[in-house]
Amino acid sequence: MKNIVLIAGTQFQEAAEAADWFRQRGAVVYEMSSVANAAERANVLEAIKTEEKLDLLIIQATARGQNVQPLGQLDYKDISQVFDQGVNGAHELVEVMLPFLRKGKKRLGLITSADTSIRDPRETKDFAFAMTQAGLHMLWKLYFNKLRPEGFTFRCFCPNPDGSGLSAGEYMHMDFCYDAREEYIHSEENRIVLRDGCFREISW
Amino acid sequence: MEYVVITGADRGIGFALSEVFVKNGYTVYAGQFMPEWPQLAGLKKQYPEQLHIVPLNVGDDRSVRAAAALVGSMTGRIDYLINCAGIFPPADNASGFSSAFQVNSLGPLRMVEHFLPLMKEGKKKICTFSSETGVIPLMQRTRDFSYCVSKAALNMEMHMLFRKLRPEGFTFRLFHPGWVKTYMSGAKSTVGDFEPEEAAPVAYRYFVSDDEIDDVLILRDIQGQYWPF
Repeated sequence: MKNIVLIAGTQFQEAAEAADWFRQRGAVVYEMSSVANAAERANVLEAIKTEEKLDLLIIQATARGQNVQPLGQLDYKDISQVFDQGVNGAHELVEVMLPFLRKGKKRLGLITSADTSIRDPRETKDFAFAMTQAGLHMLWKLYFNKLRPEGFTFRCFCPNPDGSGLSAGEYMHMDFCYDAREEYIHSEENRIVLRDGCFREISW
Repeated sequence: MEYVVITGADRGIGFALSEVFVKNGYTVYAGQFMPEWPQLAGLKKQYPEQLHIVPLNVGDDRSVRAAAALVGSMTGRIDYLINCAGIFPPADNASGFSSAFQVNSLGPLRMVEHFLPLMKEGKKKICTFSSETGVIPLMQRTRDFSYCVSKAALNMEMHMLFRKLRPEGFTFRLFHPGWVKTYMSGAKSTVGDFEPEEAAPVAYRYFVSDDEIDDVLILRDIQGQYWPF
């Protein structure tokens, strides 16, 4: 049976390439250009209903602030808009797709950025971008806590900026070790981590 | 005399902390979100010279600008900015995510931005109530999405501010007060490990101390333990 994949955020290069990657390997791929586009979400939902399941949902919401200013001139409307579209959009999409994911292979993927590690933020100016990605990282961790007991698996991937290493499609597709007899020591699927294109863990 | 701005000073930890600071001789500019709540007015009667009530909604940029202008008309410097105001949304829906972000995440950013000119003349201490709920590696919850997301965004913002302002001599204190019986959900919580009056003196000592590791941004809790984030 073909894998059914939904990729939201194909306005971004990495997500678009992931869509192509899965399509080239025979998956049925649905796309949303933006995770926050309600019309696209409604259309995709109707399509997924006909499929009766969803195997993999991948979200990329790495929009930058449109009006990045220094302290003293911050644009809170811009910051709020990026956050609302990214975090609310992702939350709403996951919630509406959960019944279909439960009937599929139960995987949730996030394409994000290593620049937005809270412990080591390389992004120092764009509050909209960095705070939204931090919020999405927390959202994925919360979903991991909630859904991992149902058998869901999770991927958080930071593509290498130069395009080297693993692609988002490859990383989202990989299965990690899991041994139900040794849940803590031989079961990578029981952890959720950020990784870059070189398979290196990035601090949250 | 040293000068302190405290947000969310109406009640809970913010009020308790205001009380601790005035008792220790500081001049406190207490951010008031709920003028109908009587506690601050009572404290003002006790400390009329030291306590100044300032209308403040940290979720509103205009309100924060106005508060900074008002405080600036009363003093030429602020030594401590204490970000205490917070909310706990009743639901994890779009409204909950947005309101938590506006108050818990952007509130402290607005305060730092608009009080920065006054702080540059003072001790340059930025003190913020964060939470274990913003610590992704240790997060174990399966609910409270909007609150936890807002605290993660706050921790990111604080690290960005730290990178920007530490070279200018600012120091930062991030404090996790533990499970305090607060009013964040509206009514005062009947469950929790600490009363606000227990958490506030610990926060006070941490905030005014000068012997911390100021070149690293760390999150410390009410027991003096350090949290990764």
